[in-house]
Amino acid sequence: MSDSRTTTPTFADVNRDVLRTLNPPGNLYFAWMCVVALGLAGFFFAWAGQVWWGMGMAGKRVPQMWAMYITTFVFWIGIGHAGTLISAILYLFRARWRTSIYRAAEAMTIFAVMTAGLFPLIHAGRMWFAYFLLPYPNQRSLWPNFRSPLVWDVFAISTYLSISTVFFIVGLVPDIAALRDASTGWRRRIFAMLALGWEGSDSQWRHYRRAYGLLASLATPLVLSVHSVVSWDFAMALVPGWHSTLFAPFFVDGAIFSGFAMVLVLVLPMRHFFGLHAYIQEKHLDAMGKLILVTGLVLTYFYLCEIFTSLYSGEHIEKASLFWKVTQTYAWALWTMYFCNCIAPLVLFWRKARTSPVALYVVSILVLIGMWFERFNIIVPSLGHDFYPYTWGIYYPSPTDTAIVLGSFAFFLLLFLGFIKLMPSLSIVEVKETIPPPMRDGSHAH
Amino acid sequence: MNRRDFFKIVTASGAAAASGGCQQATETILPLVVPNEQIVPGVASWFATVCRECPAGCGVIARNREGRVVKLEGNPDHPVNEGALCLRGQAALQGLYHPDRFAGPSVREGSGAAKPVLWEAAEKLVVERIGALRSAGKGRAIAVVSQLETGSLGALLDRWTQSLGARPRVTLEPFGYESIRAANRITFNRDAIPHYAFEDAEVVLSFGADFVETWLSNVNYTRAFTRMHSFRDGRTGTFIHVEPRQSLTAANADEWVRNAPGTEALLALAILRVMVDEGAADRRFAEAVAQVDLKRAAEESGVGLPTIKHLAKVFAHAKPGLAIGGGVAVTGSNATQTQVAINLLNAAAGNVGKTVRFGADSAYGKVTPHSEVAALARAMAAGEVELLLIGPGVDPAFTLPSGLKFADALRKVGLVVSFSNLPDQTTELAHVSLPDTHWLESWGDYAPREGVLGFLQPTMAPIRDSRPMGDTLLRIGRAALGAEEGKGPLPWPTFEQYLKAAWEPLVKGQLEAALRRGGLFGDVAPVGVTAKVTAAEPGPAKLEGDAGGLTLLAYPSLRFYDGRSAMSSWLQESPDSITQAVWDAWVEVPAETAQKLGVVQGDLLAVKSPHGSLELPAYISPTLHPSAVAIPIGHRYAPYQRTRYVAADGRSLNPMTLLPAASDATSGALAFMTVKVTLTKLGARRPLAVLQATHDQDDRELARHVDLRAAREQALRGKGPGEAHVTMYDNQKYPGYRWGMAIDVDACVGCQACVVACQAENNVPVVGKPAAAYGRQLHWLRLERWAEGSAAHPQNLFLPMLCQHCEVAPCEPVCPVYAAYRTDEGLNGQVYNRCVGTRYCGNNCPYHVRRFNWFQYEFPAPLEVQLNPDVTVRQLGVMEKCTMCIQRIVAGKDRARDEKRVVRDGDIVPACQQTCPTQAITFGNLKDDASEAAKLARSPRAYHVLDEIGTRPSVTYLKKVVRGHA
Repeated sequence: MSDSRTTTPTFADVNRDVLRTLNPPGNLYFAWMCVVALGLAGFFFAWAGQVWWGMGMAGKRVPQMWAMYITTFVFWIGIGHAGTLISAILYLFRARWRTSIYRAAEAMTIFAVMTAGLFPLIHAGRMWFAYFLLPYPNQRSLWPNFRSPLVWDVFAISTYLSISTVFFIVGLVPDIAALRDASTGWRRRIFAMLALGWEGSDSQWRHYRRAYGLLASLATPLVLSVHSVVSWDFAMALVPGWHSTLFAPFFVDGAIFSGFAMVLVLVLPMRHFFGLHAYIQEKHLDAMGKLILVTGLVLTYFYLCEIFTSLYSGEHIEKASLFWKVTQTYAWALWTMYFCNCIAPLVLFWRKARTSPVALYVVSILVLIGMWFERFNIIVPSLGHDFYPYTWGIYYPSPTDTAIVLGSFAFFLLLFLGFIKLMPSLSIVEVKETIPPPMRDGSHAH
Repeated sequence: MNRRDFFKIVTASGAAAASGGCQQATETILPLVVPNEQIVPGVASWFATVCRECPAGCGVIARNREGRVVKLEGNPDHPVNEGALCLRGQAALQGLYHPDRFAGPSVREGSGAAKPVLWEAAEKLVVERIGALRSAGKGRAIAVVSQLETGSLGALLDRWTQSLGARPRVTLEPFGYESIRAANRITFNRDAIPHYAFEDAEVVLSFGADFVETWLSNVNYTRAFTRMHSFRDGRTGTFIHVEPRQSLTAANADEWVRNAPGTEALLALAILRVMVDEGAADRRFAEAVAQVDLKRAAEESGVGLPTIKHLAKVFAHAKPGLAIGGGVAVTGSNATQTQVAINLLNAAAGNVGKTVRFGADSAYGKVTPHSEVAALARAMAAGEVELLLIGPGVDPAFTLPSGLKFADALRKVGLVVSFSNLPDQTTELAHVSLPDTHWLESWGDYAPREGVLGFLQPTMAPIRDSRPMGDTLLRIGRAALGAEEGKGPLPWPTFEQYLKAAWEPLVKGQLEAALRRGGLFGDVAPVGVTAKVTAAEPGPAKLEGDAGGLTLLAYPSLRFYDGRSAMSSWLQESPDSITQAVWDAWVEVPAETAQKLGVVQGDLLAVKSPHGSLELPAYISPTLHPSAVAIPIGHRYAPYQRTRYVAADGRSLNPMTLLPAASDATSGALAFMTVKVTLTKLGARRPLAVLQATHDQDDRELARHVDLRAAREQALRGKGPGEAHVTMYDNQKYPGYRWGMAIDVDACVGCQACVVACQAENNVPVVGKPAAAYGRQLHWLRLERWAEGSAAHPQNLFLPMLCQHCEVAPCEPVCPVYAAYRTDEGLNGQVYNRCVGTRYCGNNCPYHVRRFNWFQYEFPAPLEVQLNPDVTVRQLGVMEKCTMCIQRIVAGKDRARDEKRVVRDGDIVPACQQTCPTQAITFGNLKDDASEAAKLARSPRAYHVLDEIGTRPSVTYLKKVVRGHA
């Protein structure tokens, strides 16, 4: 392992190092899985109780008819942005540093969107009728309301999930072929099926490249559209603090910001525990750090815009909402958000911080916290101090909301931890592309 | 959770996750095998009767569907309430279908639990006791206590007591207005409570009379007050209210004068003095005010001399005016002096005979004097009473001051027989329970005032094994006398027969017509009186207790009266309009004292008087007089004997436990303002469930007002051109009707009757104290109080807020499944079956009038019988809101179609409008320019709440007209 830190790995090293990540897991892995199981148990019990007794089990009320569920929903949708950004947009821009992280990022995307996808169900008062939102043929010619941003959500998210999944699977095909070649017995048969008969021939590579490029161009606009649509859940509503044309770019930027933070939160431990320093190098970390810094600065700009428009509007109710958020009950959440999203990333101006895994890790965690609070601050305090003073009120999370929100992290971790032990979490193919091909004399071409 | 529940949850949630199909509450429909010929399924029958929730005696019509009463409305033909009903009347159904209603007669041996017995056995016990007492020559040891019964039941009870040689019956009403009677004896030589003609007055000067809440006949007087006061074509009356506390009535005054408690007499005489001095009153009244020192009066009452002079001027110039007195502040030791002073004011201003009319005297004049109640309590304590019969509607152990020790006296009585059909503090101490039928199941009659005799008839069959008190007494009386049916002094087999015999000379064969109308309503010739001027000594009320303490104002509650309506969960959850608190009781603490004690709202305080103590959460009031604390009478913990809705710890909420057995020196009336109490902070908290987050509109102009001058000018010239609504879209087309509503904020007094009527009509469940405190109440219609101006002396605006049925409704486009949609009649529809429960509409409604079913709410049996069959009972997880009583709209349109015409005004009356005593709400077709609602919507005072958002509501509000005399 120590040599891979210093010397450029060979093709054989890549195969060996990546496939090694699929070895039977150790105690630490199982310990994490126990935590995950606990979280999931809480999640399902809380959900079952909520279905049985009613939505009142969660801490929602008038005026906060939405609260932590939608907060966490938007949070996970946001996380689900970095993967496709890395795999599609950076692919199209030929940003070579993406290769070592894009697989993990893509997996994260899909799992995050899957986690997010639970929330509309959890959130619905009668989740057993959630299928009403789908435009399925029925005798009464009932159709969903296409003017409702929630219906747009259904389409945006399902489209995003399916395209990302296809993109992910296509990218996996050559690697699964490598797995197939390295494994025996029933595993080999499963991998053989998933590899779709990949042989690595020139024509296959040609078709593969073309398909991958096309999918990448298809996925690119989705990166921008999904979170724009999600932002319209708020922007299309009247609530002061929601009703703003700023929201689409604001949300997309925030999503990328939090997505990259989550990638780092997942990749840094992988790098450490699997010894992937040769593949996930300082320059990769540096690039990610820069992206977080830039998106963070853009986000700060949006925050300032938000405050400015609110003040400049001359709207009494908008201003009252802003002043309340900044100074009253939920001010702590707002200032936490400003600190985590605007101040903390500034350390990444220093290259030292950008290349230090510890610093990056701390900043990423803070960014994730900050971004969760951003959505919380949009939803809960805005609703708490909107048009009608009679109903102003404070939302208190109940054990049910809390268990479900925490459980969603367990759900995500379950999928991700499962993935890294079942599939190559580094792209063998693309990593190989970045290192010099082996020469017949055993040396590397330069 | 037991094992079965666990499996149910696991399988249900598993199945739900797997199949996405999980319907709660499977229901079974049972066919009616042998149909009742008189019942047409789906068609309601209406029965006229009389509301007996308080002695006001309003006429009621009960809507009977499939044999069960589902809704009460005011009887439009009844002269007392003219179709309106207060919230207590609306909630009477909850007494009828109360889960705790006694299933049948029971007997309690010793202090054990009551055991159910047969009627015969229970009656035998009483008969034997009567027999034993009579044979021992102790007929006088039998006593009967009843609520105010002015009709045939009262006569029968008197006949019963006479024929058995028992003590004369005691009519117990805690609020008996004896001081008014006594004062009228003194001034007018007439022992009666006259009819007050508010509608004919130009200025009403009230000394604490809370006529919007409980005073004498709240619906009648509120309605008359509206006639006198509401702004119509530039004309309006003036209402001045003098009270130490900002009651709901005070909040409706054009000018609320806050005086020191107990100084009303002083003030009234000071006003008279100014009138005399300035030549506005006859010189003969000079004798009465000879001792009045204006300066001292101003000093003691805390009302400035200029204000006194101004009040005198306004009152003297009214043609005519009306001065009235009542409320807790005038039930002190000087209550009669106060009322005498008020009588003199009326006499001096020439109001007697004009607005103060003797002849049509109130039934309250027949209440047994409190001195006799006290005498009965003493006799009981002395063991002189061995059999006590207590009629329904009275709960002396709860409603009498603890100083009277009535409960202790009750324990000394050998046999206590209760006719109450609901458990209360007195039935706990009763030995035999012979539950009376509810008044909605009973025959009877009640005369609320001279000339008006309302008839009670059963509106449905009894739902419990209860029997009319009259029947039971007739049987017991005959058995005790050893007489057969048809013989002796009590020959009638049933009370119904007694009643009909009594009615025959009155109705002269036209019984059915009279029953249909609701009774016999006639006018009584006015009785002329002359005022005797007596020198009044304007002494302040005497108070016992700690001299440094605060005067306790224990006041009757609008919602619970003396406590007899506290069994209703609807009333428990309809907020007190001033504090907006539900369920719990509170002690209203002046802001100054609260600051001194370091108390904030919800802190528990120990309220101590020399006679007892209470622990209540504090409500900090910026308006209460600094020398007073106030506690509402009538609060009890839970409406049901179950802890579902409120954590009942059984401790008292009753301020009567603080009061001595004191009475007004002259009249002997029960005095409510007699002690000073001390407050101690306990450290613990019991937060109040207050529905309104703030009374400050934050400049959002939700409830608006306009100056009298501006309103007059606008009424004359019309409003200037308003801003036209700019839109890129076509206006919505309405092929048929366009429903809308106009609500007059100037008329609304905030009495909450509409809130409870809506709840009754639309199957709105109650949620309990914790849920209500957490913004989860389900009222489709709420009554907001907005306060403007100074905190200590605010201008109050009452705003009934319901779904605005916006033309551009923010809730509609955001619903992903069209559960919220716009009908082509201008309503904002809500399809419960389609609702998925995303609650997006609830967020996006700027008025927050959409309600969500957080849980599956239950209607404890048999309250589910009351559910309106025309309205869906909503499932958990769906949104609901005001439908403008869509079921009534459909019925009204059907009727019009049957008669081959279009719907006219009055065909469709939503529940809120129907019950409103001030007629503040008008529903109608906005497309018809001639409809009342459309006319009001064009009024210069018309505005829409939050109209700057562009929602274009179908509900138009009319600005309050601020008279601003101060």
